[in-house]
Amino acid sequence: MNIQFKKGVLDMCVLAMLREKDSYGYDIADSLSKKIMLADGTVYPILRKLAADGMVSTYLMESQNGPPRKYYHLTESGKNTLEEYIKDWEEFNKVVTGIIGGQDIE
Amino acid sequence: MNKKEYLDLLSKELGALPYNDVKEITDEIDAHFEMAKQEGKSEEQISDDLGDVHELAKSYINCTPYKLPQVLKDKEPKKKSSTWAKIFSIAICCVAVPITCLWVWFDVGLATKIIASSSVFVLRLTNFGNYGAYKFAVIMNQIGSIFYVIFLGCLLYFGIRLLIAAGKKFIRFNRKLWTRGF
Repeated sequence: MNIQFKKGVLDMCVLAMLREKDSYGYDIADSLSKKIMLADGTVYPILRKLAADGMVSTYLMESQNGPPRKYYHLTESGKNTLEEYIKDWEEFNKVVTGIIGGQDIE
Repeated sequence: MNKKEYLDLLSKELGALPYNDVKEITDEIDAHFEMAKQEGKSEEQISDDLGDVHELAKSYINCTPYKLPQVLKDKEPKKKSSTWAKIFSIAICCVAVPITCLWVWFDVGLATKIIASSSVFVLRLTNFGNYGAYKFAVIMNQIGSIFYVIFLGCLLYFGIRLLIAAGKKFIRFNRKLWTRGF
């Protein structure tokens, strides 16, 4: 799949994955990179940017095996941004589908 | 590439970021290595899966809200003009404008004189038969006129050329003085 397609929606996907439950970096990186064929490392800078923008917060939690894990939690601001992203995405998706399908939208 | 090599290269590539950020980033990637190892992957395999270390460092730097040191963006600050340079610039303009006017006036005068002398020369030639006893004097006068007009012509030619050259130089010098100072 075109890498440019993926880059545009990564923020939205990461936020969406944190909507259901808090998660740690490796978990997000692992499942997202398997789903949309990315390098595992791609997700980490995005998580860091989202944290800097206040979309997610972080905390450390002990794990049964190994050192404590850094968990990511979706903040209120992150939830609102995600809603907007999804709305924009659906609108955009509709228009693009129309264009590539050759239909006349409006 | 094993874990140590990957992390060393990553922290080297992140050199432009503050130390704390580099530490946090390498800790997170270190944790990724540890967790992936528990799933039975080799360090080499994990490095490959993480992707190109240069790309990773680049994404981190692009994602960082901090401003990078100015040196990385601009080469050197531009020299600013001072108030004194501007005052001096205006002052030399005040001198240069009257000199230019005088010069132009002088050139126009020269051109007029050349036209006048040439027409008299032509008139004398056409009326040459009427001069009678004055013929010799008129011939000498005509020869003198030729040299006179050539002399004035040279003066006018070099006068205009000098005016243009000096004007260009002055404008360039004064613009530099105005924008960048002494």
